[in-house]
Amino acid sequence: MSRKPLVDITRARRLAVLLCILCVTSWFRPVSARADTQPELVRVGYYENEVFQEGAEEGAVKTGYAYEYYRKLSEYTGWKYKYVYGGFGELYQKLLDGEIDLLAGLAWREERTGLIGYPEAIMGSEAYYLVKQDTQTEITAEASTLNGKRIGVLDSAMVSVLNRYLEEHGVTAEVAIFPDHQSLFGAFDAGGLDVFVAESDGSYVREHAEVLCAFGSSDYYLCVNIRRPDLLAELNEAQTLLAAEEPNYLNSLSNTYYSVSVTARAFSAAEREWMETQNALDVGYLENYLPYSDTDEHGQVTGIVKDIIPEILKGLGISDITVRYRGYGSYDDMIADLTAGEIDVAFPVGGGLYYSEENGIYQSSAVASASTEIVYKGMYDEDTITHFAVNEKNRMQFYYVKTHFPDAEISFYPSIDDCLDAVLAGDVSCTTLNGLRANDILKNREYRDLSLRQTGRNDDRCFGVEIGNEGLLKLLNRGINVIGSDYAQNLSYRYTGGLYSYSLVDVIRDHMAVFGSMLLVVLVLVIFVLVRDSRRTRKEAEEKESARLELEERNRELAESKKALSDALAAAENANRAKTAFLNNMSHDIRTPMNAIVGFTALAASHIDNKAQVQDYLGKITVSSQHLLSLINDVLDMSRIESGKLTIEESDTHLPDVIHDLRTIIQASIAAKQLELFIDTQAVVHEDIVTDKLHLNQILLNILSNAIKFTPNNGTISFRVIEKPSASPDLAVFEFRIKDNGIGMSEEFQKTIFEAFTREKNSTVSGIQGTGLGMAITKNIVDMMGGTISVHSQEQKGSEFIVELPCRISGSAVKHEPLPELEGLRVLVADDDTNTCLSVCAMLREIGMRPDWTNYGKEAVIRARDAMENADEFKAYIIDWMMPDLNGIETVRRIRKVTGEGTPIIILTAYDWADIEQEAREVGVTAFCSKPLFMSELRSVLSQPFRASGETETAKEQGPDFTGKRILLAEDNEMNQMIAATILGEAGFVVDIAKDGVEAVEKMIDAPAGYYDIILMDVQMPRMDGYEAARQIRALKDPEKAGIPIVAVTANAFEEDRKTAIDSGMNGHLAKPYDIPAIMETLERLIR
Amino acid sequence: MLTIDALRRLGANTEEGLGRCMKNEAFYLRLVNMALDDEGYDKLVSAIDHGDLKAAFEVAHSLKGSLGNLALTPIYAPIAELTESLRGGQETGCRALLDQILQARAALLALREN
Repeated sequence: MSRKPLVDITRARRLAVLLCILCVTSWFRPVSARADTQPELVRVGYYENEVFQEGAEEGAVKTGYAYEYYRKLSEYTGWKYKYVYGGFGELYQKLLDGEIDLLAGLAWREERTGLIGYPEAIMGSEAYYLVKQDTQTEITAEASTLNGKRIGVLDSAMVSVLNRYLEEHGVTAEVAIFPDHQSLFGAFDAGGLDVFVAESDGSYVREHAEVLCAFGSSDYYLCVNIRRPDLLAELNEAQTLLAAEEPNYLNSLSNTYYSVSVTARAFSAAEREWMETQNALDVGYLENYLPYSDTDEHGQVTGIVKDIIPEILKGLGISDITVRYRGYGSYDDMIADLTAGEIDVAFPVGGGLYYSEENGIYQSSAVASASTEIVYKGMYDEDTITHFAVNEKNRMQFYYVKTHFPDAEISFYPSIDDCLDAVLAGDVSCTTLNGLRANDILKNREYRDLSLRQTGRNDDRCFGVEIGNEGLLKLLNRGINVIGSDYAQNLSYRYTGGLYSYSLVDVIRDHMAVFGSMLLVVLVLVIFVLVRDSRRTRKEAEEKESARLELEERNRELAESKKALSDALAAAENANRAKTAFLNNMSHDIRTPMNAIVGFTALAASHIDNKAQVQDYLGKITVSSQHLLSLINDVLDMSRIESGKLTIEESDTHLPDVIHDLRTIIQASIAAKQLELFIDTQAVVHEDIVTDKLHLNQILLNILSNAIKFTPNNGTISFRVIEKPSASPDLAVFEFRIKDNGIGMSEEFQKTIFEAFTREKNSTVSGIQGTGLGMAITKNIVDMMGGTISVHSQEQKGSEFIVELPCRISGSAVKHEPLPELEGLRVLVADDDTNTCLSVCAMLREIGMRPDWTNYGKEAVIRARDAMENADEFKAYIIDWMMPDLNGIETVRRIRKVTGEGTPIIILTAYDWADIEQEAREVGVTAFCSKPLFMSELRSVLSQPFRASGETETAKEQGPDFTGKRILLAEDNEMNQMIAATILGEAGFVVDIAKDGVEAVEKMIDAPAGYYDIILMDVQMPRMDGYEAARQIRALKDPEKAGIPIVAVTANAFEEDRKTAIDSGMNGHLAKPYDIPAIMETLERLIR
Repeated sequence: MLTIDALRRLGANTEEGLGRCMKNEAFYLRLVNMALDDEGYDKLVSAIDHGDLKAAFEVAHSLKGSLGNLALTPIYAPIAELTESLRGGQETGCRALLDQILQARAALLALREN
């Protein structure tokens, strides 16, 4: 922008200069903190490790102990990081090779010191725990009980720490060393170990394990590339400064990430005793102290206390204790009842250990730790903290002030509201509020003049227990640990809403300016109208009006151009980012097959004389080429989607056609892999819908091909079409479920499967290649069609994709006529797939028939015989072709023996029946139906045999005779010419051919009138199309020639084709492919 | 060798196709051979490669006409679909359809060679 020549208008120039300045300043801002030097780019090895270091992937959000540590170091060093991803082993090698500069989490080893640089200070330390089988009651925290036990440990720094511990305590135990976590846990789970060693990582908590004790720890470091002593020096300097300025940094960091440590549910003796003797827990709480606790309008307890007590009991697995709550208006009353034994626990208590001792209570671990805020009015200075208002009902506040501001004067008030009012009135200089409460209380309008200042000293809110009740105290502490230290904090936001009320008056007051100006505008308008009406100085008014309009116009233009500018910028940035990511992915994906092609081509060239080998190479080249081709096709599709060029074109669609076409397409691959295909429908009522058929096909085909691809031979694929209840009468909601029992997907992969360029990590193992775009394309298309797609999968178990698609119901939907001839007839359905049986039976019932079903061919035969004997025979049979006990053909043969001729037997199959058709007809099959069976198909196949038969057959055989008639066939396609000529010749026509519209018109002009009896005109032809040819013939001077019957032939039977044909003066319309009876009927009608 | 049975196994609706040829198997098979040697396929590939959707539509449309009459379903089904998407000027999915068409044709050609 700055390089653009400035337009010679003062205002424009000023604007441009301003923009330049803005650009320049925002450009430099990120480095302005260290403007003297360019920030150094440091390469950090980043491996995925739960809690410690997460998000090891380009573009992934990074979190974790190590990540936060890097950021903190950067504050001291000014380093900028380039993250290098990989496994730990791989990255360690890179550190040795000097390909990365930093790697976190390494323990100190003598032998490593010459290879990598260790800084002086540690990065953190890891505690080690002993974990025992929970059934091993004789092992306790006492080290001697480990004598003779078998202890498992990972082959790592932990081994020496464990040995040292055992040695120091004089324990002789069998130490088993395992190469990885998996084998260690395996041995422990199988009971082969009494005890194992766990790191302080919460993820190793196990069901049947109990933590005994922590027995040691080991330090780890952020190590530096040995060739970069300069970085090591900078790191040492930074760590020294960090330790001086933020001495507790490492502790708080480890508290943040590792607070939920391995925690045991093994209760101590004191805890057990408490539980055995108690069956109720009486909890006292302080009222009017949200979010911690209060009594609501129904007199019930509310606040954190209400949730945390049950949560703790649940976390500890204690279920047989009744909890009773009692509210207290004053802290002192609550503590008095606690020490008197009226209640077991008080919540919250706080104010420090000294006062809790004074009160005779124990304070539990902190339930919530929030900083105390000083609330004051005006400017903050030394005098602010000289005179405190303290709520006499809340003794914790008094303790806090007394502890931290011993010299300050204290005045008591009956409530916290009164304290705040006192600060407002200037009676005192300040008061305090608990950090979880402060913000929401001060949001209230009446306190808008008060300010907050954090003291930086946290005031813990805890449970209080009477001194001596050690069992309960320990239980509570254990529970707090189990639910995690941030539980209460997270919960608090649920309750702080009640601290703040915002009335209409507050709204008006807060937006005085807006309301004021609105009022003003109304006033001005009223005056304006009055003035205009009274004086009728229209001209003046008009001038004002136009000035105002112009001003508005300018304003709008300015706002528009500003918005357009920022929109364009954002769009350009987005597009650029997307393009870069896309190119990165693409180049990698294209290179792989390309390399194979190049490599095998070279190999083939060098073995040109060895035919067999060359053939093998060529085969490999073909596979890679096809893969590359499909990749490029997908990329083209994807880029069309991303550039918004993909459009959804809806048209009337007959759902059964789509499904049957799909079945036909996948038939070959299903057969090639010998897969079993179950395909059925459920409750499909609306078969005629409006949708984008092509894309629906693409969606389902993509998923089905994947299912086929990822299911090993002899596996099973099921495809169900379910119509779900719809909220709107014009809308049908379909659910397509495609399920396989193939190799499935990992959990992580399922999260990204619908993103571009994702593939299962171990796809090389499965040996199946793909472009990684198929599902992204599918998802995009589903989105554009207004549907949803989801997947459930389990590795080695299989996957299920579910597409839900709302479709408009076609206006031309046919209404099913009742079929009285079928009413009440019995039908037997035999299919080994129960789903198919149920859905077919549901449809049969809908028609009014009485269906029965079975999964077995043999049973079908028995039931057929039984029905005959009981004189309630089945009037129709629907038999699956493939049944495990007895195949369909054999079943039909046997049923036929029972029923004799006449009863229709319909074979239902998910496969192509061409091969068995003849045999099947011989044993007595009446008709075939392909799965899934739709209502319309079922009705038509069933009603056929019950109608009067015979008449249609004979009419078809005898075609009309056109001997001696002459037909002009305008058709450009040679093959169609031949076919049409054959058909027409058979009917007796003399056929004359014109290969396009021009020739057809010429032939009509040249031939004498009456020479041709009729013209069959293809519409789509080169040079001149059929419509134009028809128009020109109709315009011929000779009325006999101009009046010749012309029949249009188009590729589709669309109504609009017919209409255009009639509009061009043609007399009839036929669709391709040729339908001989229709041709004969039309020709006969027009000639005779 | 192309036979009626082989075509049927590959999914062609030979009954319908034969019907249009007045049940004359030799004639039908001759037409199938012609349909397989049609230069339209090359034209179609080249038109799509050059992004000339209009030309591609015309070729596809013509192929669709003859294949439809012969009821060569394995080629006809994708080409019918291709014709419809080209009619709408839609390029998405064309490549995949074209591949299907060429593969189906290759399968038939292979059948003939053996």
